[in-house]
Amino acid sequence: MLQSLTVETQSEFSDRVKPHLDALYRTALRMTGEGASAEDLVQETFLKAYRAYGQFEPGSNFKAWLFTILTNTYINDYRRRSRAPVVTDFAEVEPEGDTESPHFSAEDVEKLADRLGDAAKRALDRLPPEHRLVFLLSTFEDLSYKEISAALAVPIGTVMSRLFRARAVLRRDLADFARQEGFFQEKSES
Amino acid sequence: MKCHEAKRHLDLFMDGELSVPENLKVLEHLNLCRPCSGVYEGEKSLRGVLRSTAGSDRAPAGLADRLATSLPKAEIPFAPPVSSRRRLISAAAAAVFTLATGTFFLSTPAEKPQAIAAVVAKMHEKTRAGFCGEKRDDSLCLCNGCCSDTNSSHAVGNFFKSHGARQNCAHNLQDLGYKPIGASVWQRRGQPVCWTVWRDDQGHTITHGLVTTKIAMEPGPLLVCDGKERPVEMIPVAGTDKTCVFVFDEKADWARFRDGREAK
Repeated sequence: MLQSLTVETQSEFSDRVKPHLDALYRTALRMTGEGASAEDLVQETFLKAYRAYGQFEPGSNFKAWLFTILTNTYINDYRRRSRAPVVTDFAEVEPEGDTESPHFSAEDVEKLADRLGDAAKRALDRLPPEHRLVFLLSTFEDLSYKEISAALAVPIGTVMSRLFRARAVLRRDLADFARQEGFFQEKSES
Repeated sequence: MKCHEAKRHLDLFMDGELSVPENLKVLEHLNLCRPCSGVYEGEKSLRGVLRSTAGSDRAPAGLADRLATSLPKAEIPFAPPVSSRRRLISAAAAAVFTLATGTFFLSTPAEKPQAIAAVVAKMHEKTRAGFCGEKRDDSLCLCNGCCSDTNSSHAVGNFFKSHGARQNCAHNLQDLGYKPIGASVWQRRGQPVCWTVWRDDQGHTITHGLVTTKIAMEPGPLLVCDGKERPVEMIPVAGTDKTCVFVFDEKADWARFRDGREAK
């Protein structure tokens, strides 16, 4: 009941957040689109987490808890004033029908890696924020579907459909890029 | 498992979201099927490449320090120092001192430990009597749900803040079998000071608060106030001029507290 009184010292809290700082920052950066906003978002997250630290349930995933605060802060405060690239219309990115998105072979990926540069970031930035967020939390930050579902307050099914759409769109984007670079041979799907 | 099934399950497999039997089936298929394991390898390296190109930004140098210093100083919740010497005083002397000095210590800048102990013990008598069912402006009742705002863990913090007091001790006495029953704000030297009151099943009470003075005290039991013996424990908060103060009903309560802390 007096949890708000029983938080640990500031330095203990800071030390606990520190290992997750890079993760919070890069997620904030991909969501806001630029460094200064990303820093603001991380700072706001940090302060909110500090104030709510008494409500953190010991034994649960601290990283997921931090990301819950980050995503809520982002959705409430940043979503509207984000300077991130203009959101692609949802219909535009929806994969048509059941067409499978192309898969890369490990060799293709190796070639892709050499020339990719910022193309991966640009491809990510083109995803609708809701899809991008789920992709970042899952694929980069290793949160479970359940944790993401809790963080965003959406059903697991929604998490999955956003994630799979995000991946399909990314694969297609990168395949387009590879084709332009002239090294990706589309395989005929077996 | 067929190829199309394996491919359909691939994302879930790589995300670690399949049940154990499903996971085994996919693994088995990947071991046997070359095209599918090729897709898997490609997907694995694609994720790796995406991670390294778009998911490897580091926080700017100095951000951690900037964050740490951005925390509001006024809201520092104090935690117990890791190892503290017990500092108890005998206040048979305190009582005498109190009689001799009257309220002198409340206005003098250099406070004697005994004086603080006496004040604290007096507050203890006042608070241990109160709270349950009693609505007062200077206190917040937390027991028996007799206040409507006690469900929120923020209630105490908000209460303190609304009285202009922002600092409080962060010791949790629940492990020792005490429950928080109330919070109170006292004016002391013109400054609001936060106190919380805890009680166990037998009605034993601990009054717990923060004093803004570094106090060096001799270890030993404390006898104070209203003719009752009340042990006091004072734990300096490392690196500050604050001291956490606990007042117990009986020596046995103090011993329980001491043992509990040592067990940690």
